[in-house]
Amino acid sequence: MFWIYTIVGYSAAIGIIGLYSVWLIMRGRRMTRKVPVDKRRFLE
Amino acid sequence: MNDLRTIVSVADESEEIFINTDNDDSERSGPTSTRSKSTTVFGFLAIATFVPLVFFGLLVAEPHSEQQESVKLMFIHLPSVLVTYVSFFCTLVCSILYLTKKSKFWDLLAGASAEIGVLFCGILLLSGSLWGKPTWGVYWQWDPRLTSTAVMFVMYLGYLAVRRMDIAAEAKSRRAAVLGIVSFLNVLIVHYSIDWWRGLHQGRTFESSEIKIEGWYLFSLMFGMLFFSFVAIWMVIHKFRILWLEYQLERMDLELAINERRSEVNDLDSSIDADEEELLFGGGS
Amino acid sequence: MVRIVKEATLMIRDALLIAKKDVRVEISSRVIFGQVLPFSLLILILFGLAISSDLIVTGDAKRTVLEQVSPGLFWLAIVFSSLFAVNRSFKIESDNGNLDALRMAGIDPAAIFLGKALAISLLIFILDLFVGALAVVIFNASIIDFSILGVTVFAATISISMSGTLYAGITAGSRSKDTLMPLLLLPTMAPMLLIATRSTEAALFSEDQTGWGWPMLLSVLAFLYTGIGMLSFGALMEES
Repeated sequence: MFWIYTIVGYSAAIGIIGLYSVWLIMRGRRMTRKVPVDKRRFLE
Repeated sequence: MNDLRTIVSVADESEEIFINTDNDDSERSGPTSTRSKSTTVFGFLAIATFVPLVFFGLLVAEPHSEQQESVKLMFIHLPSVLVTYVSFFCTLVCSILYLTKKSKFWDLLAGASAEIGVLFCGILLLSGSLWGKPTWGVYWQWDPRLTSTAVMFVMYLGYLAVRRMDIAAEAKSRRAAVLGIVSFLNVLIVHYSIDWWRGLHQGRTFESSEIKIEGWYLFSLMFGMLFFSFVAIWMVIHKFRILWLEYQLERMDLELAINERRSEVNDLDSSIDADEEELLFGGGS
Repeated sequence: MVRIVKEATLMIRDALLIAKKDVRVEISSRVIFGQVLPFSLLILILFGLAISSDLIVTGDAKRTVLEQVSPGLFWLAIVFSSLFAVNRSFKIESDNGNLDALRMAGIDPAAIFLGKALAISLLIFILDLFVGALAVVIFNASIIDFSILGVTVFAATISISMSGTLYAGITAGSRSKDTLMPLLLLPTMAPMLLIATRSTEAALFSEDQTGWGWPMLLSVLAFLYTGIGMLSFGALMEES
C-alpha cells in the first residue's frame, strides 16, 4: 500500500523534471532562431 | 581582502562556462539551439546518475520496517531540499554581484537560478507531502519546516513575478536584485521565527532516530544528490541562455523603436520644411 | 563620530518631514479613514459570519471557537487592510512623479523610506485602535495584560509598515503593482502574523505562560524589517 505513494512521487518528480527540460530545449531553439546570427553568442 | 579578490576573479571566470563556444555549426551560421558542450556533459552525467538512483534506491535498498516503500521518497525529497536552497542562495549571490558589478550576466543568472529553485521547491513540497501521508496519516502538517518552506515557495514566485514587471529593463533588474537579497533574508527570518514552534520536523533528517541512513540507503541518497544537482545545473545553463536571448531580442526591439521614432521626426522635419517653403515662396513659381 | 550623529539627525529630520507630508495628504484626502477603515471593520464582521459562533471550544475554557480565534482574525483584518494603506502611500507619489523630485532634492533614500513607513505606521496604528475596539466588542474579549498587547500592536504595526513600504517601493510604477505588492508582502508577514497572534492570545487568554517571549520576538522582527528596508531603499533609488 505504501508503495503507491512512492511510485506517484517518483513519477511526478521525474515528470516535472522531464517536462520542464523539454520545454527549456524547445524554447531555447525557438529563441535562438529568432535572434540574428551575430547576436547568438552568449557573452557580454 | 585577498579572499574577496579571489571570489571576484572566480566570479569573472565562471562566466566562461556559459559561453557557447562549441556547437555543430560553422562560425558563419552560428548556434541553432541553447545546447553546447557544457550542457551535453551535464545532461549525460544526469542520465548516468539517474539509472543507479532508481536501481539501487527503488530496487536494491530494502523497505523500511514501518514506512516501507514510502521512505524511498527521501531520495527525491532530500536532494530537492539541497537544490532548492543552493539555487536561492545562488540567486542571493548573483543579485549582490549584479548590484556591485552592473553586468547583465549576473542579473540573468539570478533569474535562471530562482526559476529552477522554485521548480525544485515545488518538487520538495510534493514529495514531502506524499511522504507524509503514509507516515503521519495526513498530507499536510502545520509544522515549522513545511510551513516555512511553503512560504518560501510563494516568496520566490513573487520574485519571478517581479522579474516580469512592465517597467524599464534596467530598473527592473535593479529591483529584482534587491528583492533577491531581501527574499533570502526573509527566508532566514521565516525559518528561525517559525522554529519557535515545536513540530514534527526535528533534527536534520526525517525522524533520524528511526531511519539509519547507511549502506544501500546512503549509496542511493548519494546518487539522488548527484542526479538532482546535475539536472539543476543543466537546467540553469539552458534557462540562462534563453534569458540572454530574450534580452537580446528586447534590446533589438528597443533599437528598432528608437530608429523608427528618429525617422518619424526626420520626416516631420522635412515635411515642415516643405510646407514652410510653400508658405514663403508658394503662389508664384 | 560627530559626523555620524549629524548625518543621522539630518536623516531623521528629513524622514519626519516626509512623514508629516504624507499624513497631511491623508488628512485632506481621507482615503484611509473614509474607505480603508470601514473595509477593515467589515472584514471583522464577515469573519464573524463565516465562523459559526455556536461552536464551543473543548476543554476548560468557556469560550466559543470564534472568541478563541479572534486574535488571529483581528490581525488578518489589519494585514489585509494594510495592503490598501501601503499601496496608497506610493500611489500619491507616482501620480505626481514625486519620488524623483525628492531624490534630486538630495534626500537620503533611507530617509524617504523611513518617512513614508512612519506615516503608514501611524495610520495603521489608528486602524489598530478602531478595529481593536470593535473586535473587543463583537468577540467578547477581555484584555488581561495591556502591556503585552501594547508592545505587540506597536511592533506588529512597525513590521507591517516597514516591509510594506519596501515592497511598495519595489513594485512602484508597474501596472500590476496592486496584485504584485500583496504577493510579496503577505508571505513576508507570515511569521509576524504567527507571532502577533500568539502574543495577543497571551495578552487575552493568558493560558500559556510564555508571556513576554512573543512580544520580544516581534520587536526583534520589527527592528529587522526596519533595517532591511532602510538599507534596501538606497540600492533601489540609485541613479535613475
